[in-house]
Amino acid sequence: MRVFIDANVFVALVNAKDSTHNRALELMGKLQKENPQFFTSSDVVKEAATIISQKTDHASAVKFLNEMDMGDINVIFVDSELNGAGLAEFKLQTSKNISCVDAVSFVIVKKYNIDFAFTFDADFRKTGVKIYN
Amino acid sequence: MKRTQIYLPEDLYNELRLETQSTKLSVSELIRQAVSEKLTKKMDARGGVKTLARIAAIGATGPKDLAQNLEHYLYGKKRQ
Repeated sequence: MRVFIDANVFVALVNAKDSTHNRALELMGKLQKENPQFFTSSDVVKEAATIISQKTDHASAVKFLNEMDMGDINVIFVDSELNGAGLAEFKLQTSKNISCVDAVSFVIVKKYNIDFAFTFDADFRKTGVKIYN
Repeated sequence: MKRTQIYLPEDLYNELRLETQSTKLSVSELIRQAVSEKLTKKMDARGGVKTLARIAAIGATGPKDLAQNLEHYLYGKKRQ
């Protein structure tokens, strides 16, 4: 099973005080039984690292990035082709709450035949992407 | 499908030709199958869950609504 991890899940895991921390751990335990292949994007990693640094501390952001460097989660690099497709997707959206990074994520989900998004962002559902819960 | 070009050592190419005869599959199809199998095995073997567990052990402390309202903190989106 292929699963796309959104930035808010990384943040929920790193931030021990987060209201979704335990829920993220619970879903992670559930996923473990399904032999998941994890995907995310270079944009998502940057979003997560930035907010972890700004709202918790820089050392935690560095630890997070070091874990991502281990290569166990497939980080899809957003090149000019993906970026262009994502911006085209963004233009098609009718909700003002979809970010450009979200739009690139939707394109990746479609392009790599990803089954579910692991996210706490309710707006993800509006695009038709299936949410893992 | 994307078109690509690869160079193979002659002995490997000869083995591949023999395989096409026994399987009745084309060289392209055999290469696609081999690459797909290799990548799937590699990805299955990856410890993604273990990485997530180590990320969860970082133990940083921030606002309780940080994940839920990530885009509020990043971009000023209305809180959920």
